[in-house]
Amino acid sequence: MDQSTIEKLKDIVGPNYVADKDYDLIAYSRAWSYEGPLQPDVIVVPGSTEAVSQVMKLANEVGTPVTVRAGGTTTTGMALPRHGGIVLDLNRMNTIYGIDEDAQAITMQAGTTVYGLIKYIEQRGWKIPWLPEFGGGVTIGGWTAFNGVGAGGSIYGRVGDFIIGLQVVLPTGEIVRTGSASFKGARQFTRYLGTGPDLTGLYLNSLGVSGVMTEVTMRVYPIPEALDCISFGFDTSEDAQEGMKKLIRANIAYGITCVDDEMFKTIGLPPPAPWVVQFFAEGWKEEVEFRIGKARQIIAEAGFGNELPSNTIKMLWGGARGTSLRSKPPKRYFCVGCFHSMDTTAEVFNVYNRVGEKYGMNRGMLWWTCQTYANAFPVYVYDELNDGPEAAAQATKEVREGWTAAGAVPDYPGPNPDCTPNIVPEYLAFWGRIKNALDPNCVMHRGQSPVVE
Amino acid sequence: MLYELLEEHKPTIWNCQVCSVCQRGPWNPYPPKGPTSDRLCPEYEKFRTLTHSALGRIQAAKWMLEGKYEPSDDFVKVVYDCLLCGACSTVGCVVDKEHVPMFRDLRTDLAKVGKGPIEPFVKTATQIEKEGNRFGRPKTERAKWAEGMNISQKADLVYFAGCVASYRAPQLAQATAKLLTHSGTEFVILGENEICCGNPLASSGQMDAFESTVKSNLEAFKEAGARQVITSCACCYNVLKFDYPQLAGNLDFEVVHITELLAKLVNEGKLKPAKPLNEKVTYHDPCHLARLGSRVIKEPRQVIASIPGIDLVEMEGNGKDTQCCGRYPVELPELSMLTGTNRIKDAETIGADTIVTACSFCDWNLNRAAKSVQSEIKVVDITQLMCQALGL
Ligand SMILES: Cc1cc2nc3c(=O)[nH]c(=O)nc-3n(C[C@H](O)[C@H](O)[C@H](O)COP(=O)(O)OP(=O)(O)OC[C@H]3O[C@@H](n4cnc5c(N)ncnc54)[C@H](O)[C@@H]3O)c2cc1C
Repeated sequence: MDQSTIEKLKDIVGPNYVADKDYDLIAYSRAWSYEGPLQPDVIVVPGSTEAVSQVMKLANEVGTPVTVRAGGTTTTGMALPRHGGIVLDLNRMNTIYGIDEDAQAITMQAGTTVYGLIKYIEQRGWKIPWLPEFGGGVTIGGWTAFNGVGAGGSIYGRVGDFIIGLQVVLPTGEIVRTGSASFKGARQFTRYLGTGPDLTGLYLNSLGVSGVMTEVTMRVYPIPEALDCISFGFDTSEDAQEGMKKLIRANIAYGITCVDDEMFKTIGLPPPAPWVVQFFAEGWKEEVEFRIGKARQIIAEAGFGNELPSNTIKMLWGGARGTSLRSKPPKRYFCVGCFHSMDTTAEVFNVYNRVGEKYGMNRGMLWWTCQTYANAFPVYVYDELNDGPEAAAQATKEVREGWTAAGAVPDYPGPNPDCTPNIVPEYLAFWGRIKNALDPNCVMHRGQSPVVE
Repeated sequence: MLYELLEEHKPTIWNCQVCSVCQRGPWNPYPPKGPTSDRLCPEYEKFRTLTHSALGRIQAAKWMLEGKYEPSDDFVKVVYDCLLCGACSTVGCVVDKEHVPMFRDLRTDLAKVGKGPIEPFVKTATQIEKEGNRFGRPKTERAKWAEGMNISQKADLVYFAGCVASYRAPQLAQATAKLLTHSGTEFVILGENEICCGNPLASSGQMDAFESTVKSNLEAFKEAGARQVITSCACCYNVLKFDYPQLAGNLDFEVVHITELLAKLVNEGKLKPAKPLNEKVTYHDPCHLARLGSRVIKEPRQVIASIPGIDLVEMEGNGKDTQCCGRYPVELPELSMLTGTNRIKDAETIGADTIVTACSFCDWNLNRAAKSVQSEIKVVDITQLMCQALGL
């Protein structure tokens, strides 16, 4: 990158927030992934939406690619620059603007960490729909771009389902708002309004290809009176699938999660059953009691699966959750995820186990419902020093191929394997037209899968 | 092998998750605990690029070990921008619990190939070599703080005052001595034979200088017949307790921090603070006492709680999850000030009147920070607080 561009970037964000020394590029060459090293030419750390806008305009002017990096936690290295250029590190943009209690909405800058947000609102008696379980680096912008999933997904769905609106810098640098605040005089309280299609959706699962989210408005709820859980053990993945299907159809869950015996072994706890399904209910005390009782009855009547002791939940929240990734350090972990319909659950689980066994990898299944379908997000443990990143890359590829054969869809599009060939061509062309209109110079996250012409 | 010490850390370096927890927060916030996001790493908080974080430094170390990166002088500066507070590993890291030894080894390896340490640490080393203290003040003045204090000539308990309390903040050494005397604990000091504990040398990769410091102090302890060494500075405590044995093998004496002894004396009824101090007090855990190696966390709280009238409140980030005070007011003054100021804000947020600490460096830096932001908060050492409550 030529020096004059670097100087212009320094003028925009301030000299302390432009980094282009060799060691800076090394620091940004990897993310939480076996991918890389992939180095940018320069790192820019903006402090405002206006600064992001100017960076994007400059990038278009000089034709340099821009990759947004937030927590860098998507485990296939989505925040790594595939073609050098600028890495836009959004972590400085971390102001929370406060809760609009009447709209039940909270607005914050996109670089705010999710855990920072949770802490902020819980201190004020509010909650986001459900609690995720990842590292402290994950940001609201990254989470929205990834469209995450969590333990309360049966009611609230995915992150995208509770995003009300965004402030976005388009790839060409213009600043826009989506959601009700796009209407003069209105504030952010609904995502959908009668002025046209839902443009917020362009940014869910966007993974940095359609613009830079700089502010996110999310729906929040008062902390409910009660949250409880009942755990069931199943002997086979097929039984677990059928049990969970019944629970979902009853439409009484706040969330349903599943972990396996491998997870327990990985974190060093005795497995209570091969497949441990947890049914969560939240709301008023009586309501929660009723829902838990109903779930108990459904599984008892099913004739397979058994109720596990009530401390199973404690073991998980205190053990697996939050420490699921702490098995026998120093080791590295990689996750690979898919979304699938309920009838393919067993096959998704079986693929995960087959690959884990083939590569002799410690592992653990993490699985959640999202309304009527599900997300599998297993974690595998590998040793980069001794086995190299290749083992992780190869296992990821095989898991994804197995899942694709089972009819599941990827949680993020690649790059390993690049899912582009599996996308229906008309859909790909449709997306290509939108991408080209939004980003005529293709500056944003060049090389990101799905690759469009 | 070019980077011999670093090589030992290979499994950690290769398996770093690059998960960002070392910059932005802990793994498990349920229920919310530990430092708030963005307050985890003081260095990252100031500079705001991954370069200035454990993650960035580990990636560079990997490239160095692979022979792909020849460290530049600028990088050496980055290596020294870290306060070595250890929050990155203890609070968050899934791969390793001990980043600080790795970062110290990185400094040592770099110094061995002629890269670093940075100038302020070289200056500190020169002063220590010349006068036995980090300030370059005359050796002969080391025990000036003890004049008129009637300290014993013979006892097997040695009070090691450290450079800061000997020269810069004699009130800390005096408070410690008063408490020991008041409780009937016989002790001696090393006088001019005490030299810097070596902490600034060990933490800046100047291992030859550190070794000669260790040798000199160990001889002095031996001559004094020490069975127990008490420190009132957490940095001295840490280096004596953990680094000295690494170089010299098992020590002939036990290293005890003053808060451990005070808690014992309070429990035994040998110290009975009677004067009510009607203050809202918060305790700032020094990293060197609560996180880096030892977990002296409950003892200082027991001591404070023994004072009538005190309302002891906790700041966010306490115990092993403490936030650094800034530690290097001389070598890294700006970063130190930012970090100290943030800690003052933490105390203000919970409405404390007083921050109590148990380390000469924390006391120094927090006082400096409070003054710079014109905070009304008082910063005192735990020994001073106890003296106040005992009317000493
Ligand atoms: C161990 C582990 C457990 C996990 N568990 C869960 C879980 O329980 N629930 C869950 O929901 N998710 C989970 N995840 C996935 C997690 O949600 C994503 O990794 C995370 O949301 C990505 O956020 P980030 O800030 O790290 O973004 P990054 O990784 O930095 O970026 C992700 C992508 O989004 C783009 N991007 C980031 N910010 C913006 C922005 N502001 N505007 C435009 N594009 C942007 C980047 O360019 C990149 O393509 C888990 C991940 C791991 C590693």
